[in-house]
Amino acid sequence: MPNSQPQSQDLAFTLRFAGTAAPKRAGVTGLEGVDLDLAPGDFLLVHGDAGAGKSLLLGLAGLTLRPSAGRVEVLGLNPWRLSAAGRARLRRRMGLVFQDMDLIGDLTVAENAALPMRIAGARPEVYRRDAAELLDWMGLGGRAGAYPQDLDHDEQQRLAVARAVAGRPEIILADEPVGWMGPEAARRVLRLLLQLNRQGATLVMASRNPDLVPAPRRLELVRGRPLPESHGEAGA
Amino acid sequence: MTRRLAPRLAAAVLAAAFTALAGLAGLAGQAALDRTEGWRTHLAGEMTVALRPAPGADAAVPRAAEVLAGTPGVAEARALDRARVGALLAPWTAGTRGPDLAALPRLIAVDLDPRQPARRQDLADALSAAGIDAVVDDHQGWRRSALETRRRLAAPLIGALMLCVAGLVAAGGLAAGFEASRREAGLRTRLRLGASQLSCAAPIGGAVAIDLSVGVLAGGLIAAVLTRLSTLTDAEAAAGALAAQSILLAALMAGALLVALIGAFATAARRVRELEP
Repeated sequence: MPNSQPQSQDLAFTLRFAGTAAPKRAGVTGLEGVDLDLAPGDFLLVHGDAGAGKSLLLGLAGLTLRPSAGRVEVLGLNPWRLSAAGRARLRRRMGLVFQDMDLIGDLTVAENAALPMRIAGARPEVYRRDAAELLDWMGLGGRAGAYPQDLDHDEQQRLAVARAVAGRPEIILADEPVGWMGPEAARRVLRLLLQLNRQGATLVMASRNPDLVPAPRRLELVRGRPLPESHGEAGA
Repeated sequence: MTRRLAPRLAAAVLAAAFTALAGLAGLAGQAALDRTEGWRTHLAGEMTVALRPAPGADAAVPRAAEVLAGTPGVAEARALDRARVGALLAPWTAGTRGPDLAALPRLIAVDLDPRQPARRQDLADALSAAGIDAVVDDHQGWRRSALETRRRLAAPLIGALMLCVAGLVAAGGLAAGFEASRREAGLRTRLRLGASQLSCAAPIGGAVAIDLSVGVLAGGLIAAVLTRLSTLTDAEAAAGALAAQSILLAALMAGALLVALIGAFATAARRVRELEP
């Protein structure tokens, strides 16, 4: 298995699921029979009721979950056949917005936003500048020195999105990215995500709301099973 | 804050305790081994000639001493006072009444020339040639006994040191385990964002290294102070012995820290590996 990092532009698929399943967890239905191919620049909205398996699907794509059956390919590689270091390199090419946000309480807002860039080995002056720009864009410029626990839910979610897009990832996986936000902040964040998608990033967004955003591709999950994929309008 | 500091303090105290134990075991062992080695060397540098208790044995003693002193490879030969011999042999030859001096062999202590020492056979031949009936003891039995004592001392000392090593590994592991638990949520997030396992484990090891270093330093100081306060090394108060002890203690402390750090980094790496999905 090659361990190199192909450029997503040269790949037919950035994300591929083949008969993929995720195990059941306490009180949550598992996921079965997901077949999915996403090319660079694709935008997929995954929707369904609570417990339908949306977070499981994003967990499989984001390599936070190991499939119990079938195969997942990310950027042309089977991550579960790579070494831990190889998987880590693959994760650095993805931006994840977790439903539980997973902000690090010991780090300031600016440090949380800069973390993916630090992990990727960016120089301090670069990641500090980029993080400050991002936080300004997200309306968090004035809270850069605060800690995540000092932010309200809306601000925490904006910070989580800022962190996810900070390293200019090739794949963005966003689980209910605007669930806690007010309408204005939500519009602003969705605009940013769609702009990054238009610039070539593959975007997978999960939401209970099927009308959250116009998406060219939609996948509805019902009790852990995908309904046939529908193709909708292009992104706003 | 207390909950955060308590495990770190516990690790430092454990490291200090095991380092102090290792230091004491090492220094006590060094002193004991030095003494048995000194005893063995001393025994090798002399022989004892025994004239059997018989009529005229007393008169033969000065002559035997003279013959021995004239033998090549002998530095000095001196007859031991009978009363002193009696006192030396009292534990084996007599009860509460004391030994019968007339029945004791007459002993001559022979100091060998260290540059070219005489052999046992040389002394036996010289005495035989002079017509003196005597037994030459080259202290082989005593020297074997000294070697045996060294061997017997080494086993419990190595055991004590191994115990300390195990304790230090446990202290390092314990500290790293606590630190990894405290940072678990942050580590999980970092791994999800693509941080390498090494970059996640290294800060844990670094934080634990500081605690362990403080503990090991304190333990080394405790061992040094206790050693100087005890009578353990009174006989070796010379500067050379002090330098040797300091070097040994420093080596033991460095070894202790290394061992504890290996335990800490191994635990940190294992805990981080477990967090990776």
